[in-house]
Amino acid sequence: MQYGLDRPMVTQFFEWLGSALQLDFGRSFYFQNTVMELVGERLPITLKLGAMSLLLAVAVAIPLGVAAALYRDTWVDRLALLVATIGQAMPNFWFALALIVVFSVGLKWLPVAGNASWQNFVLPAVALGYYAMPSLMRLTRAGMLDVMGSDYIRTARAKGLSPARVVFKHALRNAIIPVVALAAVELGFMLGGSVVIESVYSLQGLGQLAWDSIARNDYPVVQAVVLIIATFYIALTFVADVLNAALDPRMRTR
Amino acid sequence: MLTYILRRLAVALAVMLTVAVVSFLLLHLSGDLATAIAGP
Repeated sequence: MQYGLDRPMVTQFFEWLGSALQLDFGRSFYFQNTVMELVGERLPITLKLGAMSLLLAVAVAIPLGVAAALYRDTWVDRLALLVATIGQAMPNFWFALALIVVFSVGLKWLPVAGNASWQNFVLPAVALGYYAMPSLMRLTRAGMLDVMGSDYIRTARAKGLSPARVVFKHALRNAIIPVVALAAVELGFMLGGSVVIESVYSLQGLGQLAWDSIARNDYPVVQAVVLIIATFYIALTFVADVLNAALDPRMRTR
Repeated sequence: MLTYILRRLAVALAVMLTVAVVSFLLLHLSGDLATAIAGP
């Protein structure tokens, strides 16, 4: 009766939904804090990890995609596609462990676990970002290949503009539109998919909280985390759609 | 543009509600919650 389990399911749902809209998800069964206090402590860590991973993925994917498109069917293109294929094929938990073995245990450059300083986020960000990078790279490459054959690029070259100006000011600006949308969606994936990486690196983020709560049958926390991650993902997809429409007006009619 | 934003917002809210319903149902229909909370 304390948790309202004697009431009909529909009543329980609307009571829970009403509380959730006021950001009241109840108390954790395991910890003695409220669910929002737990989420408030852990969410910034997951957001920091997600943002760093995305920045890393974009910083590698876009130059690699541009180079692959400009030097199509050369060793540059093959190398970029190889890097992308390896990123897509390799399980990210295995890659995370391999990074620990090489950089933390072997070279002792970076810490193994925890979230004490920014250095603790480097390896997790690399592991998570490397998983997202291939799709961004392939999309950039495809977009650039499509755009470089356009009439306005031919015009820009005929006007005597430098190759760098043609590529970065004219071509990339149009090719990057779907990449921006995908990057927003990838951030949602990273927030939800950080469970494994946070467990490997012992980062006390939202993913680790979800994992521990599932193991302990801590239902209020599980419900809250699922809803919060879903909200972030839906919000980021919405932002991606709006950005796409703002950058490409043709999308508004679809 | 405003029409497009409002349309996407309506879809986002519908998806949110669906996620809330599905996650609530999955949790509550996966067994007796009272027994799971109380333990063996």
